[in-house]
Amino acid sequence: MRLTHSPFFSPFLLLGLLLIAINEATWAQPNTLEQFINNMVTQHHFDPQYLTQLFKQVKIKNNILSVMDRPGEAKPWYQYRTALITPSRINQGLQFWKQQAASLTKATAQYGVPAEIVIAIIGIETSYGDNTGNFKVIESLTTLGFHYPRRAEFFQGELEAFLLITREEGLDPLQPEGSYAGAMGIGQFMPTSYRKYAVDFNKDGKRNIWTSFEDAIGSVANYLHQHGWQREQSVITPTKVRPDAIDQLLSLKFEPNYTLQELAQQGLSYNGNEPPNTLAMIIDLKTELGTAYWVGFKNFYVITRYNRSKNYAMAVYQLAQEIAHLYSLNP
Amino acid sequence: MKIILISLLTLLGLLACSTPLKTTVPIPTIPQNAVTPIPPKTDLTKPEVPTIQPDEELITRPEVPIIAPDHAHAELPWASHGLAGWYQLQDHGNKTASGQIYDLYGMTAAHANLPLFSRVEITNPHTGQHAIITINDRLTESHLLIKISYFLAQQLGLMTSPSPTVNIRRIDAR
Repeated sequence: MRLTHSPFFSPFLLLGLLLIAINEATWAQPNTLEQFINNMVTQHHFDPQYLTQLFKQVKIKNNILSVMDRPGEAKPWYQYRTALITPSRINQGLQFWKQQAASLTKATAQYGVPAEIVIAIIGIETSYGDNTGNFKVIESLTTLGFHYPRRAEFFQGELEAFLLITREEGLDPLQPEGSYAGAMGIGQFMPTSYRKYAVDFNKDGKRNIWTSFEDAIGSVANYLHQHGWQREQSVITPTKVRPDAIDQLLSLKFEPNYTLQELAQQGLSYNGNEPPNTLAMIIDLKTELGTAYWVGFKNFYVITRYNRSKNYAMAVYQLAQEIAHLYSLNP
Repeated sequence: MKIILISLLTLLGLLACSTPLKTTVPIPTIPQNAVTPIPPKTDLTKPEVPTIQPDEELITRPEVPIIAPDHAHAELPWASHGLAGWYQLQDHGNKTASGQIYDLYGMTAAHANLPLFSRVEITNPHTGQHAIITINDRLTESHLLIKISYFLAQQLGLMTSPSPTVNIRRIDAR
């Protein structure tokens, strides 16, 4: 789960992260570093001297704070698509599929997630592992946890999880690198996600999402599986909407909580073959021609759990389709 | 990652100002006699693209031309040249003759008589841009050789062409 902030910032991402912050932050008020260390000692039995020494070596990164303060601007879908779904990303996706075929096949069998979806997420997150970020995770999280008040609780929760990871996995806390926001490795997992969803897919005793493609592939597939991926079910399908019903349909919650039958009663004219009791949601995207509509199913919603934006989820899906198309021509 | 995305956007912006962006995915040349098998329906790698069989409604639909039997096109390659058209925004979400739903981002096309689900290579002879697409609809406009998705028309550089002609070549049969 990559953490973004502009240019593709979306209200859904913001809402989702706020909810995470409320759910997962261990402490109600933003703490000072001293209070944070005290809590790590009392709650997780860390050695206070070890932590004090550790944080003396951690630099606060002002460049991260300036990136966070840049105002976010939501791009329309067609610009987002052009930026992310490029010919080279599609072609590299095909190469990645061939190179990692065994792990991808195993992940599909075990978690039910198609290979091209896992590939597309890794392709968009880090260009297939090329850009995993070179900020020290501890410096990113300490900077944002103690110098970015708006999200201090969230990042302190991530810092807490990160320190637990380093103890559980036997890592030097000063070594792991990630994005400016602390997202780690080939699939850009935040530390709390790593603790819940990362898997040791190659059974070498380590959950190495930084350099093991096998562990990264298993972890991304497991993340989607744990969030409710439905094996061999649709992700998203084009639809028509009765013009007078658009506002009503778009005011519904951004969750697949409505059956196709209920949506049809509210003005959806869907031509698909899914049973009427299938749960779905309306997705509107700005294309070059104007706004177009899709019916998103549970699996589309599951992709938005990786990054809470409909543009992001659609980019993953369409990149996956392009890669699968190319793969079907060059199996 | 974010910084990289911004620089990517900036780079794309700069490119867009100076040179037209070619968005066609380079597809390796396929030998003329190559037959690419369509993955079986049970292929786990493509579950979100349900293979939809033409239903009974389609068989009785009067506007659907009679589908030529496969053996009529058994001799490959089959090639043709003519005018291309493309679907409009209001077609997005309509059911095609194959039962699949038209998607403005789909790699699909309508043709008068090529079998549904057959694959063709389509080329813009003026630019060389090409793509491999699937026939999933029946053509109703008699002046066109083929009607393609909006996205394909854009990808092949046909939108700005005064006379959008294309070459099409069948590359497989189901």
